[in-house]
Amino acid sequence: MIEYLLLAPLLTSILCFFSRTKKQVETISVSGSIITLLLGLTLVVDVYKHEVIVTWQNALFADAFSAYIVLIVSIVGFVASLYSVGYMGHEHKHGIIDDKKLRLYYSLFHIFMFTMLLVGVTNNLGLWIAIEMTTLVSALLMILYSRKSSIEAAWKYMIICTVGITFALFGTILTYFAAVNILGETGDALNWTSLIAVADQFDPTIMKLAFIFILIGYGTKAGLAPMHTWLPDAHSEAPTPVSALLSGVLLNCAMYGIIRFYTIATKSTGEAFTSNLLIIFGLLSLGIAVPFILLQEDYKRLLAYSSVEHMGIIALGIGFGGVFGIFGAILHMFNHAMTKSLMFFGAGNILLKHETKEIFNISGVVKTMPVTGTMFVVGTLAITGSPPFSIFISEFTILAAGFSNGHIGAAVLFLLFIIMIFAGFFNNVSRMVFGNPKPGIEKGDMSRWTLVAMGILMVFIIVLGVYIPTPFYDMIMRVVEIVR
Amino acid sequence: MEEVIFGSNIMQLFIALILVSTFMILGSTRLYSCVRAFGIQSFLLACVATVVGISTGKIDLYIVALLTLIIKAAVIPYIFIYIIREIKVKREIDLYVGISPSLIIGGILVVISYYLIRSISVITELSSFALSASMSLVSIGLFIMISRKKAIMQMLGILIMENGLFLGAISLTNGMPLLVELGIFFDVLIGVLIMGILIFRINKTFETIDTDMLKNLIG
Amino acid sequence: MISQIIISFFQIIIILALSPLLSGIIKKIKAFFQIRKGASIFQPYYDIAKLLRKDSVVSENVSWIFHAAPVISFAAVLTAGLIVPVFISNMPFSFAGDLIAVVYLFALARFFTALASLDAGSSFGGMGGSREMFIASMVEPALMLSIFAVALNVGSTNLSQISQTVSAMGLSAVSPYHLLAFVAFLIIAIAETGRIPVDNPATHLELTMIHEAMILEYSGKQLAIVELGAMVKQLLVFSLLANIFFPWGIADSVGFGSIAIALIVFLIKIIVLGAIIAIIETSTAKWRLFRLPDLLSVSLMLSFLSLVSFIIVKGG
Repeated sequence: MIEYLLLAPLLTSILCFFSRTKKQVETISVSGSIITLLLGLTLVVDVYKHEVIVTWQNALFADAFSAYIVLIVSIVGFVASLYSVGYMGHEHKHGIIDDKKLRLYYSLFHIFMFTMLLVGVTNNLGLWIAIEMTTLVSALLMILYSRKSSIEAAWKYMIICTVGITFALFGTILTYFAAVNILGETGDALNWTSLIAVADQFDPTIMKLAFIFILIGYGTKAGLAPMHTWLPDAHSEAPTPVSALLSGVLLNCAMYGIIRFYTIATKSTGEAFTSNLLIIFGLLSLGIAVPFILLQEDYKRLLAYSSVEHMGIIALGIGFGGVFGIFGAILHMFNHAMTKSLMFFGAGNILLKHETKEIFNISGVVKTMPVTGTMFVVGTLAITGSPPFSIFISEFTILAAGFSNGHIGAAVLFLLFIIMIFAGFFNNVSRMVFGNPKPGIEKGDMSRWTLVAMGILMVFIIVLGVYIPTPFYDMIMRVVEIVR
Repeated sequence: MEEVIFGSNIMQLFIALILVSTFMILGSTRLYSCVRAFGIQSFLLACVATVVGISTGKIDLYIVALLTLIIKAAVIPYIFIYIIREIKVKREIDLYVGISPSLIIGGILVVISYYLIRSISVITELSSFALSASMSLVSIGLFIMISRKKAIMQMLGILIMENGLFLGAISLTNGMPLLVELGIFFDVLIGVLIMGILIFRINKTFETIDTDMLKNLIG
Repeated sequence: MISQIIISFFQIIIILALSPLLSGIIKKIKAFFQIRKGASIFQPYYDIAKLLRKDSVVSENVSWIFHAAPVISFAAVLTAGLIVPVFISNMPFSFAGDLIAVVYLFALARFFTALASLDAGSSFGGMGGSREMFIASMVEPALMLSIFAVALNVGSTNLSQISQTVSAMGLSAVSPYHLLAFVAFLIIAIAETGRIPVDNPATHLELTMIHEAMILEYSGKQLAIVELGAMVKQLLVFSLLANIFFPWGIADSVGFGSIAIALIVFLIKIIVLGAIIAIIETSTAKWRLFRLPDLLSVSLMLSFLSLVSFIIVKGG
């Protein structure tokens, strides 16, 4: 089952690379991502039935948490591939990219999907390898345009994330060391399934050190402050569908790594140590995002800083702990993925229309692009945590967890920061969407593909805001059980 | 018993030589000699892996040693030399920190690493030296990345850090599971290739590979 | 008592006899690597013999220092030769001084050579002297530190004792700190003997020469003494290198057989070292003067690392 899920994007990628026309490559890409989505959903159902699936000589496995990540990856991947048809089609039509680059784009896109799915289903704590692979592939996607700024962003991304991930490797080695002391030198000593059983016997000193390194390492990849510096550059310079994947999914994948290690480390070091670290990094991310969101001039960077903020919120949720905190954090991963992708798609459409990323040069989007504009406004409300949208639910849960678990100070700060971010974000977006359009901008929305993609995400945002379906709720509860 | 002492003695010698090669990189201003020193370092790592393989009898380690020899001591230096030739870069590396201060900082980093490692209690004499060396390699690699201007040197810095971790993994636990090691090798190789591509792009777009030029995206 | 005096005499004679040979051998090996035929390995003997037969031409403006300097330098270097173990480890005069004394005897020789170079008042001499002192200011601390790293291991700064102890330890003496100190000392040896990349002994190019610039005013018999002094110093540095870091084979008691073997081993050791130096000389270019501190700080750092790793391995 898991093998097929991994095989699908790989095959799609190869087919995309060897396809001939634009039409062909688009068909292959979209149908490939539909297949990936279907396989992902099947995996989710399977896990629902069987608790844990282990295959391929213990190398691959899926529990509820993996399935959850797979779900996020395949949904956003599917939507992004729909959006790509519209977005890259527009760029292709205007001669910004040629046939060869288009093929390369789709091909890399699906490899990127593959690496992110791999992060979810690796049994081994060598999920390091998969996370490093995501960096490599996405750096290639970033230099699709040979602009100075995108090359600079790609280089920074590559260097900072590789260094970060090297630290994570050190943390992994230390964990392995702790495990070998208990389990002996077997090939299984890094396997999630065998580690979790004996995690409480690990040496606390080593695990503390390991967790610090893991947190710094994967934290770099997850965009936690102060290691976030590459993130705004990378997310704003990548092609928009890729930005959505980076912000919505890749950050979650890195977060997934942190949370997995959190579970192991907490069993050995006690909750106070790991939780406090996560709370500190979470609050720092929120705090650093505030001024950059308030004074931002580039709307794609605005969205990128918002991602830093939301990763901070997830870290905070895990740090607050308890069923509520973790439930909120896990739910927030999903909600943020959907909402941030929607925002990037909206921003992409605005970028295609106005050909500028400056907030000051854009106004009246609602008038020129009614559908995009409306969804962008709704997305803004959602991402800043206003009711009745999905993010409100998860943020509220995390906040409640903060107060009820005695982290009053942190919770108050959290509240303060998101209020400031709400103000800053809304101020910036309202400048873009309302008012009279700039002269010379034609009326008319972007291609249907992009609107359909945004519409699908919209459904998730609105539905999850008012009601969480029972199967979905059960699934998250299972993840919470795994993480605790 | 005799053999263990012999093994550890040889091991310590190799590790000392690895430190020497690291300082060769720190102390040299020519790209080629940096790359050569890196190749020597990787070769020595392969030797360390072999020695550990002999004394523990793990066949995995021979494979790892062989891969280190092929990928890190031959292929990667070759890629470096290819890049240096192709982009016709000036052979001297530009520095933010001079050679002598760099060396002194390197020495300080070694001492700091030692004290850090000593604060972890569970470690034997042999691995304490190896671990100090591994931490030193990681920190010196990091220092090389921030103190050298050329993009190639940042790439080299990352690889030195990676070598340091490799040494750490071997001395702590006699090497990670083979599957993980293979994955890491794969990632390192692909990473070097992609960074190479990026360097070509940087050179083409900015007409230099000084990272000084990469300062436009702020805020 | 008598035998010890004989040994000391014998050592001086050996040093005097071998040092031109060493120069010749290095030149020959260099020639081999540069695919030249090269002069005979006995050429330095002929050179010195020829110089001894000639008269000195001395500038009118020089003081007594100019005349005294070659003799003082030569005497200082030869005195060092009484302390440095060459073929036997328990030197009769080892009570008279340890490695610090050796370092300062070398410094004394250097000081007078530099002084003499200034005395003649020629511009090249002054230039050479200032360069020599510039390098010396960095070489000396590095030299001390690198030998200290070994001395720490043995627990004594007495060269004979270091040599004896390391020799007795056998192969187990080879340790990280030993190795690091060796590499550090090798760099020092290059600087101390005026070899590429620090100085080029084969050039008289104004811009690059250091040692040659200092002795530019000398000629005839005085030049012969100066040249011989430099060669002796080179041999002594090499024997320090050989007998501190790998003294195996050195004789530890007086006896005809052991001394004969020790001499042969010693010869092999310095030839190997000479070959290493020759390889380094052919494969590198001379460095700019202001980059030399970098080279010497490499050596300094390696000695430092050696001390640190001594503490790591021994101290725990």
